[in-house]
Amino acid sequence: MINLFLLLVDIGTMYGVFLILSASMELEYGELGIPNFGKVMFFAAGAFAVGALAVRLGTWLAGIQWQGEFKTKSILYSTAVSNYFATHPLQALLVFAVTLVVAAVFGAILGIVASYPAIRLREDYLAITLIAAGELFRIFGRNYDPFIGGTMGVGVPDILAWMPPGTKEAGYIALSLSFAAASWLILYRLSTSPFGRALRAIRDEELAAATLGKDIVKYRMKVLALGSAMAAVAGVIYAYYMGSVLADDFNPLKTFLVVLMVVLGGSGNPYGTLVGVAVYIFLDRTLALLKHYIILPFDINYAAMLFFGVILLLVLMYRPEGIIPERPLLTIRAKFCRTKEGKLEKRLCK
Amino acid sequence: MIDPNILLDALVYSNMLALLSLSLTLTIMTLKVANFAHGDLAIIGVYGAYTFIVIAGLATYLTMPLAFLFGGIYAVLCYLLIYSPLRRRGANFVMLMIASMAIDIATRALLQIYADLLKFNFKVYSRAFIFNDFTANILGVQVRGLVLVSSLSVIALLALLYILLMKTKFGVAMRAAIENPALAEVLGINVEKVYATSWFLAGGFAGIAGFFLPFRIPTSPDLGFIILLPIFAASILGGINSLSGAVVGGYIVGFSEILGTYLLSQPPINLSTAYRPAIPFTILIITLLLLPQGIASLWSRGD
Amino acid sequence: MVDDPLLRTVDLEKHFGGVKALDGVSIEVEPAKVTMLIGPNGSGKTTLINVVGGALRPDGGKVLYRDEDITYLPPHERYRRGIVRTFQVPKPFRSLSVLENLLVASRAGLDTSAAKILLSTDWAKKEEELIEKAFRILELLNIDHLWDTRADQLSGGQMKLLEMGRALMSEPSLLLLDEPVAGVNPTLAHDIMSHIVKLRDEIGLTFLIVEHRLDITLQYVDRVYAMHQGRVISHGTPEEVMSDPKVVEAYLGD
Ligand SMILES: Nc1ncnc2c1ncn2[C@@H]1O[C@H](COP(=O)(O)OP(=O)(O)OP(=O)(O)O)[C@@H](O)[C@H]1O
Ligand SMILES: [Mg+2]
Repeated sequence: MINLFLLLVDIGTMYGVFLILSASMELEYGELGIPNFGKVMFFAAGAFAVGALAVRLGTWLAGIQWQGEFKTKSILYSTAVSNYFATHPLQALLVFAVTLVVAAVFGAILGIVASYPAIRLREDYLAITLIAAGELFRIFGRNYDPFIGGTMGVGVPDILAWMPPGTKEAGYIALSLSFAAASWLILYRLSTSPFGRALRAIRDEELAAATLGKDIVKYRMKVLALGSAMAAVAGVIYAYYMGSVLADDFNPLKTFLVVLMVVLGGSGNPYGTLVGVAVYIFLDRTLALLKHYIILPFDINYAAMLFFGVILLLVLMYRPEGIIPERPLLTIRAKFCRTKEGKLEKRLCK
Repeated sequence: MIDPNILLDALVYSNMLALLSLSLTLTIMTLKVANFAHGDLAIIGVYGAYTFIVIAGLATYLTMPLAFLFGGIYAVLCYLLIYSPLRRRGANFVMLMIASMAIDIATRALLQIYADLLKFNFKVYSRAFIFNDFTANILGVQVRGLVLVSSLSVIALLALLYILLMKTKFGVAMRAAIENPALAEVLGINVEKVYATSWFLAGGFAGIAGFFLPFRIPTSPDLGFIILLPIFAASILGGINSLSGAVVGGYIVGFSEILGTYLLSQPPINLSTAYRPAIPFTILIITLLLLPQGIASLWSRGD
Repeated sequence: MVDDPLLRTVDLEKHFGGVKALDGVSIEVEPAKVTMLIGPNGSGKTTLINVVGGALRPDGGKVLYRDEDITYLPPHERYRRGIVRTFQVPKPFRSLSVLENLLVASRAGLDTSAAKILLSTDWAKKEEELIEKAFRILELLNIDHLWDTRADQLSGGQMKLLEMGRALMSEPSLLLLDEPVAGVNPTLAHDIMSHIVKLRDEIGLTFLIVEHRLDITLQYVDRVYAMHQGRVISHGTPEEVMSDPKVVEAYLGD
């Protein structure tokens, strides 16, 4: 039988991870109009940073002597570090904090690098460039063993090992959802502020925005840096939750799923991401459950992929604005209203 | 110094890439947006051919026209059922791009399911399959059949396309519809039909290229995505709007990739061949930075 | 001429393939004056605005603003120096409301720092003032009732007014207006021209205006440049230019 508790943990944590990713995609694509087809690269940046650092930092803090190859021994040592963390919560949090900061900074730097082509290239050239860069990053992860264990993957110590059994899982949900909430609030606040207004202006009419004083290069750089840092944070949480990092997990399908969530929910509206991620997770889990009940002459995972591809096509065709369409944004102007006589009055009207 | 077999392999690979980048360019010229499912058309073609080889027992090379047909039909369906209606509904550039990404995901899933069904129903290898080749003796030198067949195919298909575009009424209509669709419509050209035909041809060319794949490497449903990068590198190097540029781009990328991978994997560098995609990626980046109009701009003005 | 010119172009050249859109164009725009650019269709007026506004790089020549060479500055740098232009074919931010379109243009720079917006609420106060100001401009242009309408729902004439509104919102010192009253009803067109004159007189704004509707606009302007096939063929006061046989010929020969 399926463990309902673990199922909920999985749903909650993955909702958080994908919400962070979708929020970053919404900021870049929905608000600024850059379709970041390299999203998985920035997600991987966070996860790879954890994979490369967490177990090394952990063994160093615990004073464990490393013997043997990183590739073959990382799983073993990450278990040892987890045991150490079980009695040393501060050290565990320290490792988490350090890897989080490193990952976010790494993500932001990669984002700034990506903004260089993003400023200069047509969207489709940019897309293929970012997809290819992401693939090379994955190939590097898979082939250079000392980085994240190559094809074997790398073990990631359990930073919540010190929590009593049963609460630990709730801890991961809390961790994931609190970072997701923070990311979404950042998105929401920016989206409904003069900053978001400038982004949409650039998205709608680049030349007019530049003429009215917007430094487009700078906005793209800022947004890609922020969006990529967010994606890297999602990667950090994902890596700790999974307990290992495997390079091949970070393939372009992940980018596709994030695009699906943003478009399905409604790009240009921060609420859209909340819904888009929920709908995806619901469908995905339902399909996963079905796996236990129906037998097909082919792998049901492929059916799921086909299903999601077709869903995205149907959305593009019949409801391109998504479930929750974009609305003119509300900054402080929500407080303004016109009276019948046509006078401007300050009160809430929306 | 370099083993002639590697040069011949590079030729075969480049033949394939030239067909793919040519056909990608053809679709981009009509739709004005990059099709990220283009590599998959090749795989559709080769799975179509493979099915007839293992089930109907056809001789391998006889199924080449089938690869053309399968690739072409799938491409037309993509165009008529998805791209064209999307564009009529006012989808913008980025939405078409996202649609092509969705088509790629769905197509690869379809191919995977098909591969599972093929194996389940007919108990044949349906992934990582290869085609056996014959060898020809030319002036005492043993040459793989694929070297001859792929080279002759490229020459024949290019000649065919050239005649079609330059010497027939349809070619005039096609060039007009690509140049200025609104004007062509006014002149009584059925732009939709012309575009659909272009997609059929593009899909067919891709299918033929796909047919060559299993002679070189084990072929699986995901291969279409893996070859996407070199195809784009070749097309962009060629100037994305130039058919001749796309062909030349295909040969440059193809030879660079094969020879570069080979040389880098030799001592003293000993780089893993897994980094092979780095070569087309580098070509892509350098082109975009230094020659954004592609090499075709060196010999022509935006034709 | 008493004042140094605010804007000067020196031998500007711009080619599109074989077409010489600008063929050695040198003009001077004096401060606190309304200068008009006229000429038949395709004579290069918009191209000149594009080059001065930074949307196009010229193939030769210079653009000097307050004696500074700004030929290759990007548009947002020119905005910073006070140069703002409107577009002949309106370019509204289509998914923003009319009011927001104006707010985008504001010089307050509330949008520049993501960190500030996340960490404080100071911007909200300033935003209220900007909204009041935007409404005054919308009232002037007679589109205040449309403040909450998405820009892509506007009619062509309303979009032109929105262009104008954004430009006024940006507190420029030099305004480049590409056919500001095209498609606007005559009464409102006169109102707009009067307002332009008022801005010139009251706060010393400088205008470079491209217009075909000479019947309405000519009476409001101080100086006129006439262009034909990428060249300036005449300049001076409106009377001088309109009586210049070369100008008459250019219009008739077209
Ligand atoms: N982006 C461009 N590409 C190619 N040719 C252009 C471009 N912009 C302008 N031209 C050409 O340059 C010439 C001058 O055009 P411009 O738009 O400056 O004329 P104009 O004086 O503004 O005309 P109108 O009164 O019709 O607005 C025309 O021949 C036009 O076709
Ligand atoms: Mg003009």
